[in-house]
Amino acid sequence: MTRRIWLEIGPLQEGQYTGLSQVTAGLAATLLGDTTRAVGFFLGRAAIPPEIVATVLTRGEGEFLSFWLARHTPRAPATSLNETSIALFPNVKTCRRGFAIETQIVHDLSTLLTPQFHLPETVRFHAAAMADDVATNDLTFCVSEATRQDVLRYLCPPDPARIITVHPGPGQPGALAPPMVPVEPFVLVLGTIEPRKNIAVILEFLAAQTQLLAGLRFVFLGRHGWGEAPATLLARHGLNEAAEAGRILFPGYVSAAARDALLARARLMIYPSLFEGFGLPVLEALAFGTPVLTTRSSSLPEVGGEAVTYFDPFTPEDFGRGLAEALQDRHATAETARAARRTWAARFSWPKTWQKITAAIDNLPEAGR
Amino acid sequence: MTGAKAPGGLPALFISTAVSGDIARNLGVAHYSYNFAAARFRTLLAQDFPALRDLVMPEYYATRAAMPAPPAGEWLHLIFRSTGEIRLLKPAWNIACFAWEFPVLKTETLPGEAPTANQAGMLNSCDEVWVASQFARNVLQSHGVAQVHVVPAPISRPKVPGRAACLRLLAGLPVTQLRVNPAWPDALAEAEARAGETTLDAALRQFSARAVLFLAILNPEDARKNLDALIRGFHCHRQEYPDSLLLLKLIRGGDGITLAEVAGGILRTALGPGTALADPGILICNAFLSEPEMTALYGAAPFYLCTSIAEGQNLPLLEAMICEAVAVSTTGTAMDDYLSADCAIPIASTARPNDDPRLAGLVAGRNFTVARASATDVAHALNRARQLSVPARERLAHAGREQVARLYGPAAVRARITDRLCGLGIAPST
Repeated sequence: MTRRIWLEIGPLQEGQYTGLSQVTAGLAATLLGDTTRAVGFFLGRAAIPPEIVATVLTRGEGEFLSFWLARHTPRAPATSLNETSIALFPNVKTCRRGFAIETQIVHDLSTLLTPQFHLPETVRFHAAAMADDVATNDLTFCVSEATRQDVLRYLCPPDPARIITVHPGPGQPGALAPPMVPVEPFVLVLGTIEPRKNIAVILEFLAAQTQLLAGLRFVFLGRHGWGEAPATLLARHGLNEAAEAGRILFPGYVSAAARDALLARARLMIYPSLFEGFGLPVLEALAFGTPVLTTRSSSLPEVGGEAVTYFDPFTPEDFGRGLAEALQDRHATAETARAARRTWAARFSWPKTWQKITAAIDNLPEAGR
Repeated sequence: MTGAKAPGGLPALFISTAVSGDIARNLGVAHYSYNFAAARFRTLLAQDFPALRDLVMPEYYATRAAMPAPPAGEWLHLIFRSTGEIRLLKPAWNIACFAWEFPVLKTETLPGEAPTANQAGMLNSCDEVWVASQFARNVLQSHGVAQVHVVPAPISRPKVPGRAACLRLLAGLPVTQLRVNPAWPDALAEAEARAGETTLDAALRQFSARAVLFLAILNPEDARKNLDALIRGFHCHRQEYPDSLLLLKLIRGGDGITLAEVAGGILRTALGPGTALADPGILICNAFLSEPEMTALYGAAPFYLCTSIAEGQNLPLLEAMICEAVAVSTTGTAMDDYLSADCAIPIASTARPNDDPRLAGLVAGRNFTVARASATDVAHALNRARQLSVPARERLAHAGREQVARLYGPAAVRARITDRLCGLGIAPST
């Protein structure tokens, strides 16, 4: 019997693709390119035609999906009696028992293990669903070995062999990469503005070392998620003046093309997160050959390996040490160093991810369990 | 445990305590004051493990290399948190230092609950569990937690000045005499409490020089403490022994307890609606006390009164006993390990199905039986305490001190830890 893999594309409804929606977009693009397998896409309990998914990916935002859904009544997925339907949920399971085989990608147990970094309603929604999702999965794909170990230790699934580490690939490159023109040196801080991302450690340092801003701009790229807003953070650290002078910038969310341009040209990308399931920004920076300063939290050493500089976020002065080390390395931006980073990043790719996912699915018995 | 040993054979030791300020605010409200226990272990083990490190977020470290300057050899991680907040240090041997005083434990996660709600599951995610009492060990083992060892928090005997010196040190301690009136609105209750505020010295001078001081230290919002029976029992006892005085020291983590809270809500809640009770011999103290002042408190009172229905270890009671205060106390749960008529004055209690919705044991999802002392039980025990001759009281005080030192003294606890390290294949401290 034919096996059809159905990718749930709920995250593609988002207006701005970051994190989970980026991962879903990467997977969707890979599925669309795989002509050897029967694949499908679904949203809720509705099948979405591949050409619609392709259009959504080209546009890079989810509004079109809502627009299309409002004007069509799509068929239900997994209705063919001649196929074994396999669901691949790229995040939480939006439905259970709707497919013969259910697989899921688990990104992290952050809402369970670090609830202090999340809104209470987010914790309630995710932490409660987590164990039930994994318990009802035929396969669970973890985006890092760190997450896999968390799943094994805290969720105690009945069959550890069905919990598999599958690293994701980098985000989809922006379609309109601008030409490389000289720009003033800047440091990029990439990620949603929220407590877990820990950008306060950078602002605290800049507040004490304002002279650094004379030679470097700091660009905090990402939408405001929750917690203190950029204006509040700047005021709390006494950095309003630097922001008004354009030395510290919070441009919010930008297009994939603009993000890529900034990633490619940054003197350094800083990712000071306190807990991660994977850490896509680190991989994306490395894919451009850009130097990275990050922490050794959870999954980040898996992503950064020896290609990045680390600091300890629990020792305040260590950020200054790490920053100096990263900035003072005269060879850091040399082409050979950039190439080495790109080589490291190349070990992560969506085709490799897809290959590992499909191999695991192929090894499942027909009945699923 | 396997792998390379640290120089000297000792593992590196890591300790994680409360996750956030919320824990500190709730100290004592939950079933155990983990931070207090952690502080005691830290002090005890600092000599043996000079490289001891405190961890804020053990979940941060997925591998040994994630730790700055990672120590060589085995890693031990002591976790002083409630089960829902247990976070593993993955490269280490994780030990949950858990206190539990109820006969039931939550062993499953219902649909819609977070996995952290499963107490037994979270304990089993650790490599082993240290509990403070035989009672807790039996409960955990009967609920499917296999690797359980009794390693209680250590109790050291401080240098206690003589009783007169202690009272001099505490002379200026602000206290207020118990007065509760159901007709008083909160503001008036607070004003009355402020008007009645005095010093310990001044309060004691209202009584004869032969007055006998009983001490009780508790969090009044902790439902296990049975505060209603404690106060009413003491009030009843004072009808026969008017020169008995109770110093009720109220504690709570974080910001402490204000007099307004004591007068306006805490006592009324504890004593029940409609209560009218005034007793100048029941002195309430909500002030913050330094460590020497706390020691003086133990040294000033010949008796310590405890009416708890369940305890994980009961550090204040043990501290009082090692300072030679005679325990007038309920028994049961952890207290069965160290209290008997040979070293204390037990308070009788009656086992009944629990009817208090505030007890932490209810997280297990089913009810249980608790042994609760009535006010009459408390009064009878207090009367027996006052009927003791001086030599008999001194014998009990001495026996209590010896009992605590034998079971919980630093040497005794260190020996238990050494046993565990040997059990793990790690060379013990020399």
